[in-house]
Amino acid sequence: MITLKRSRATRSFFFLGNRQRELLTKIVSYAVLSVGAFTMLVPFFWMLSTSFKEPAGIFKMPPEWIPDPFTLENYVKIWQKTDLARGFANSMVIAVVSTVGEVFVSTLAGYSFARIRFPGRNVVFAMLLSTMMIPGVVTMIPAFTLFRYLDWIDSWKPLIVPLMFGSSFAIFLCRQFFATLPEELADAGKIDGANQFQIYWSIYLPQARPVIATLAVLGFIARWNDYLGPLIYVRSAEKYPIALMLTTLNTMYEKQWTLLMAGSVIALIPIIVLFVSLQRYFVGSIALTGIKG
Amino acid sequence: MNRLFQRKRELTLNQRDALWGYLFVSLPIIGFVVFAAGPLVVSVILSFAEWDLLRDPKWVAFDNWRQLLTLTVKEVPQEIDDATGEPLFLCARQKVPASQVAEIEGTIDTRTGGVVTCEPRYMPERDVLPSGYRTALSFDLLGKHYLIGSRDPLFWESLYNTLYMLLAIPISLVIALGLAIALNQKIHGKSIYRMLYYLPVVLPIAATSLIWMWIFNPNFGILNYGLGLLGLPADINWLQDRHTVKPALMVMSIWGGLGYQMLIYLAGLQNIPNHLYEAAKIDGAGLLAQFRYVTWPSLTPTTFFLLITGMIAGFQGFAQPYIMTNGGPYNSSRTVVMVIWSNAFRDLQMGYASAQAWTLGVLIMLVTALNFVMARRWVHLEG
Amino acid sequence: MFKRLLAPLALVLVVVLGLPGMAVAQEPVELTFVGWGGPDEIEVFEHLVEVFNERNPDIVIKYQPIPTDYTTTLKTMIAGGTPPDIAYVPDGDFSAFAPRGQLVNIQPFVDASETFDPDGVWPSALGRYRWDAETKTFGQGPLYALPKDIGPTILYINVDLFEQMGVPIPSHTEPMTWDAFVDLARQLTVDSNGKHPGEDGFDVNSVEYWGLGEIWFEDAVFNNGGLIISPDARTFVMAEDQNAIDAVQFLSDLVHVYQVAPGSDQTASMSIGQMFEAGRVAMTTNGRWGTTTYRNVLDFEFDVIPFPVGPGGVTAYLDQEDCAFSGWSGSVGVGIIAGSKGEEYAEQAYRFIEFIAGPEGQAEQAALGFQIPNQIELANSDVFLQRDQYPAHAEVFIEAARCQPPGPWTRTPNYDAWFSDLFWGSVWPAVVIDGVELAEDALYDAAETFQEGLDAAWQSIE
Repeated sequence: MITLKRSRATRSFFFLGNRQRELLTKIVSYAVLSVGAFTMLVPFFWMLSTSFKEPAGIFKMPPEWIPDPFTLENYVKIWQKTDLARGFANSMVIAVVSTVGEVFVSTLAGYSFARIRFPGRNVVFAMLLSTMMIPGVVTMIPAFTLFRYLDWIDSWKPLIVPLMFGSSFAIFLCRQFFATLPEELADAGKIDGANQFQIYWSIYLPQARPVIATLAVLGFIARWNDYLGPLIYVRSAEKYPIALMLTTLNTMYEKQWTLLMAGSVIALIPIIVLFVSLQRYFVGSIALTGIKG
Repeated sequence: MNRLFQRKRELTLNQRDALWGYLFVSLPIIGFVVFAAGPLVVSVILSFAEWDLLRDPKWVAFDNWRQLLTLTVKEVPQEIDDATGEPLFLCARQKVPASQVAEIEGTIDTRTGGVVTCEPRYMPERDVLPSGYRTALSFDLLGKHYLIGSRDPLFWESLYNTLYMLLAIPISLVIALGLAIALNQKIHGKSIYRMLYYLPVVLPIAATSLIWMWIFNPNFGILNYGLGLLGLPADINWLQDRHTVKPALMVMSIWGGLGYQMLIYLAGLQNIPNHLYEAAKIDGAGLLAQFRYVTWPSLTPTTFFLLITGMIAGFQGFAQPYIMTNGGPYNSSRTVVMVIWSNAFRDLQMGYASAQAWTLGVLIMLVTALNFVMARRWVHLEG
Repeated sequence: MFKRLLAPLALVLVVVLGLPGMAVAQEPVELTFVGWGGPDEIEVFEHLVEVFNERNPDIVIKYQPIPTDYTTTLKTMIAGGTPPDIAYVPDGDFSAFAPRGQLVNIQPFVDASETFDPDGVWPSALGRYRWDAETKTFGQGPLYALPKDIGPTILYINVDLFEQMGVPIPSHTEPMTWDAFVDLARQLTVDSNGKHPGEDGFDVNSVEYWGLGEIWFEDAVFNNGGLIISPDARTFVMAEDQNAIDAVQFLSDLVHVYQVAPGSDQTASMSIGQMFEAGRVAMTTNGRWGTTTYRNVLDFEFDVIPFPVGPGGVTAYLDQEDCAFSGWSGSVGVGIIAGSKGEEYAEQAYRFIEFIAGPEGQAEQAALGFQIPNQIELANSDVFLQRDQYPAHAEVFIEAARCQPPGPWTRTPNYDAWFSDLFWGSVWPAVVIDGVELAEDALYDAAETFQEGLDAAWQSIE
């Protein structure tokens, strides 16, 4: 064991009673967290505030937090002047379809790696995992040439189809999860003469709700926020997902900050709503992935 | 004989299972070949070729690699005046031989009203560096002037920018750890705090870029306004000034990554067995010592994980500088992936861009491997 | 019995035989048209497309403005096999598309046209969309696109500021010499203590009004008789052309020696463009396209004057004579993309291009104020001159349109790759922004790389 010298500060801290020490720690913690949280949120307040201002109002110095006059005109204009609704729909389609595919295929594969013995299982698993180590930048160009050869440029296919083959991160998570489930569950099914797929579908999969929820949320958010992918592969304005559309708004309406802020608020709302309502599942699992990593 | 035939007639349960197993992983395997292994091989091959997508590829062997990676170091002597044979100096934009420097230095420049200063005039880089090379870096050492020449200085400059901006990671980790410790205390509202901090992480970069561009606005942004309130210089054009653009982008990326790191640290903190703290307290350890001997060592695997994932992501930074500054001003915020992007999609040089992509990829893998090696020294695995 | 059947039979026959005919006659050709622009320009084009579609029932133009990254998007669409039919072709990208066979040769249509008069169009506007595939030269040969505008560059001045400082407005027809220009700019540059550059106690960091914002570098070079590339566009000559070197050095001196233009320290918080709009700069460069913004945004009277001309004289466009001053003019063209449906229906596609480039399309665009009509006659009329609005001396643009050559980017392929990156990333900051290197040194050092890049650019279209 380690013997330590006591420093003056900690000694004086020690002199405080236990309760007082706890109180001080609490106060400091609250202070730190609140200051931090405030700093994190200032950009949002500012964005919200600007979105309700009239164009001339943004040039007022000192900057006013509560717009006066307060107006909703930006929110109206943004729907009329731009194709924001379509961007939403596009993002929705891309994110939902690809996430559903990814989750399904990944759980299937994860189950297989965890619960089915077949020759070469570990080798194949290691192989799939190794792709996580490859920086995306290396495959970016050949992937582009492949998709060009398939004539998939200017469509959503390059964004959706690769995920239909599962993703190594998701497979990894699923395998880890399924490995923790008891083997006896399968036995009951086998006695009934069920094949592997039925065992997977009716016995193990229902247990996997937390993992599925995590993957679904993580996947959805990743696709919703994806910028580089659409930037390379989506060319027609009508197919733009929301991520691209926002930057084009920035160019088209360059100095109209009030309008742009309204657009950003609208684009952020679904994510915020999704996150706030599902954060229970989500936040805990994030932590899990960190530890296992 | 009969028994042999009998065994082969129907598949055993294990063999049937194996078939199911293969079936289930068939799609990921195909995906691996088509979208990972295949492109990997292709990009290596591409790096040895020249291809603009419109005409056929052309094999160029190591040309791309040589163009990208060769460096040379040269000493640069002072330029000699042809007429007098003396070394030349530059005073107020005029070339002055050494003998006249004393008279001119210190006089007043009639055009500007300022004092004239002289400095040595070095030979032009073109006469010093081999053909095709330009200065990537110049420095003085022991009284002599040197140049590091490269055939693609922009690539090296972007590499410097990318590495510079990686410094945001340790800063961010320190803040995240502090926040996680605070959050780990017995306080209320933990889940709300968690949510608030994690929120920036899930937001699309396109939207947050707009907000931050507005914040950094030199005339109407709240950053300068806040600085002004504190009495600090308040007219910096954060995104348009070469010297401040990288720190500004770093601040924004810290904001966007802090929540995730804090969560991971929090989980790590919660995983530290209490008995370790008890033991330390018994030994008389104060708060600081507890941190140093219990908390920090237990968190080293977490720190390691965050460092690695942070660096892999940081090396490949693209969207943020692309949207915020497009590499400007004067390439001071141009990252490596931006250079690869413009080589591939603007200039249609697929081969050269592949070589650049591989260089970055190898660098990332080397750094990761290096981290793993060094981890033995400072990462305490759970024993 | 036959008689009774005859009528219905005839009807059926007519319908059956006539249907395909009717279908063919009524089915219009649908062609996609891509471009870009701010909301105003998009509106104008939407209207032009509407008018055209009405007048040409056999064609339906679908207008799809591309919001960002126009050139990269267009290149990817072409490379990816989904090209649009008709597209904006900025003059700088023309040199990338034409040699690669990505634009349709429209010369036959122009020749056959009874409504489009090439001689009535600015020579430099038309010339930059010519490509001679045999001699591999830009600027001559058949046309591969028609200009939709020509935008010369010029010096805008803040008339109110001149009056405030008691400085007479320079001539709108006779350009100044460099020395006279520096003197003028000095009088217009004043710091918070009322001091001008060169006077005792002048503080460059507390300047309130600047005489000059900036002169764009090609404008400086062409107004000193300099060249960036040789006439055949194969050699990079700037590093050996003393006129060009002097021009760049002049720009650097304006900032660092004469102190009449702001340097990077002073533009840290406000760009030069913003400074001009805020009324803190007396003269600065912009293209004709700036006029629209200025009309909406400026709260002072603005006008235009020619660039100052240096000792080296004037580099004018080709065979234009008696040019008092020069500079560069920009332009965006409209062309048919090869390999698209537009090529199949080239005749119809050309009709649309001609409409945009012809007098009617030009008049509508000119009303917006950001360009000069193609037709010289139109430009000399009130359609362009717009005497009731600023700038009061719009005829300065006319002379500019006549005399200014297109930018060097129109005459070589891959200009960004071989010139822009290196010049703007390395030469310009060192020489003009920071003022730490002499123009001749920086250009000398970079000359080989420029030439190599230029050679590679020409090679890439072999």
